[in-house]
Amino acid sequence: MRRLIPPTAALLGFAAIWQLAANAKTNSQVLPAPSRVISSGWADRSDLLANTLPTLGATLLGFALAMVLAFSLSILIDRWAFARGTVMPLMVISQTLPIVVLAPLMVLWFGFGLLPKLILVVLVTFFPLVVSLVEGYATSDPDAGALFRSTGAGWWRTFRGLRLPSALPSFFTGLRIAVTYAVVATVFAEYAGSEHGLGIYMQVAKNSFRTDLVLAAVIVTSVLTLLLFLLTHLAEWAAIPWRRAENRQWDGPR
Amino acid sequence: MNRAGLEVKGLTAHWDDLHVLDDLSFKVEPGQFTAIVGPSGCGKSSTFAALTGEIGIDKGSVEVGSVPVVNHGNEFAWMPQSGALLPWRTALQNATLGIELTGTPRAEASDRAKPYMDAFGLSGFEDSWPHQLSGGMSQRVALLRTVLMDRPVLLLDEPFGALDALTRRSMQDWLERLWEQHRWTVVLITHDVREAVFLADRVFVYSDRPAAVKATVEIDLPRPRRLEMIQTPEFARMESEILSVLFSV
Repeated sequence: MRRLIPPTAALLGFAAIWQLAANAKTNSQVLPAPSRVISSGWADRSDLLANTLPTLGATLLGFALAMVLAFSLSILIDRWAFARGTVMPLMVISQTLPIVVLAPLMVLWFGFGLLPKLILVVLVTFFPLVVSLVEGYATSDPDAGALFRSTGAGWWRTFRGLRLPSALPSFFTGLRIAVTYAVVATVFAEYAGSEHGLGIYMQVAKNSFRTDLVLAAVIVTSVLTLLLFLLTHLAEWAAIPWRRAENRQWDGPR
Repeated sequence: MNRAGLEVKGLTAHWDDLHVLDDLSFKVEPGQFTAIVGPSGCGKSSTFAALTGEIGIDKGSVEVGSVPVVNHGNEFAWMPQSGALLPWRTALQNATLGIELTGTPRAEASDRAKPYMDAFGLSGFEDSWPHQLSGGMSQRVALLRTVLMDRPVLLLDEPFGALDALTRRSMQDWLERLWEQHRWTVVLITHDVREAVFLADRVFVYSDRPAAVKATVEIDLPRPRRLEMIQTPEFARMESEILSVLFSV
């Protein structure tokens, strides 16, 4: 809990400076004070919530798909050496595409439905997941690998018993990086055109010069990402019990 | 208990481009404790790699219980130097890893391991994570994993190499007492000549790489052996005999 004090203080400090700057300005339409952002957001809460849920749903579904894809690709790369040479370059190329330009094209091709959001979330998040898995597999102890071979264990037993658990710490690092992109990717797709969602909410609010509501939606987006981020820590805590015991030993003086 | 003799005849092997074994021959009787000593990097570990099938054999043959080893199936139980405990398995689960990998269901594997926990000094630590165990304990877990596999020949690669001198002595004493009860066929790699003399019935002294057996020294010290014996003239004579072979050109 004590660890939360410095970031909270920094956040409050930032809000205070923002409040002062906004009060000094005459035009509150351009830079609304945080107090006004909160109160406007609260007043519009039912509409805001109605647009948050589709964003959250698309994010989670897209992220789940990204994980399935990442696991499949990582296994392919780990199992067959030639897959690394074939798939890896394509994956890197996929990461060079400018999302800003891609998002409107996706909407053009796939419409206002769920599909363009899912594609964008997958595109943005699968790469750190694959890399963290593939590099995680490679961290498995070579002696343990030789031990598995000496018992006659085949590929699947070795993967499940050694390579996959070895990759878990690295995987959660990748998961944390990926999840911070996920919500933003959905919002981006929605911003380019959608029926519901925080992205289109921001778009509409911006077009009617309601900067306070734009910023309220921005805050909701941040909170969503933060919650998902915390969730990855929770999942890691549950999935890596041996590390938990390690941390208890090595967390140092408090 | 499953145990058999081992005979290596004219073994020649490469590890990538490195010529590691050259016409290597030695013989281990059933239930005999043998040790391999040799200069570091001479190919001691490569011997085990060739036996377990980790590297291919260019020439020569291996027989276990007078039967030629063809597919490196289930003749050897190998313990790597590091112990190679898996951090996500508890001490007990690490001990059962070997037999689980060869198809024993987890519950049955635990039942087989539990009676040994006491003799291996692991009672009360069954559910500890490897990083919570001392160096000596970790190696005992790894040794239990190796022993439980119930293979005819145990291959131990410097099991106590990374331990501090005091722990190493007490582990040697413990292993001697344990071996007296079980009489496994053991091949132990060590760089500690004293350890080899203390534990083994027969010591193979290796040449520089590519490895071949430079000398075979029979250790006819009586058993049970106790740490006090290190002080005796016979012990010192064996030790100096091996050392003189090691350092002769």
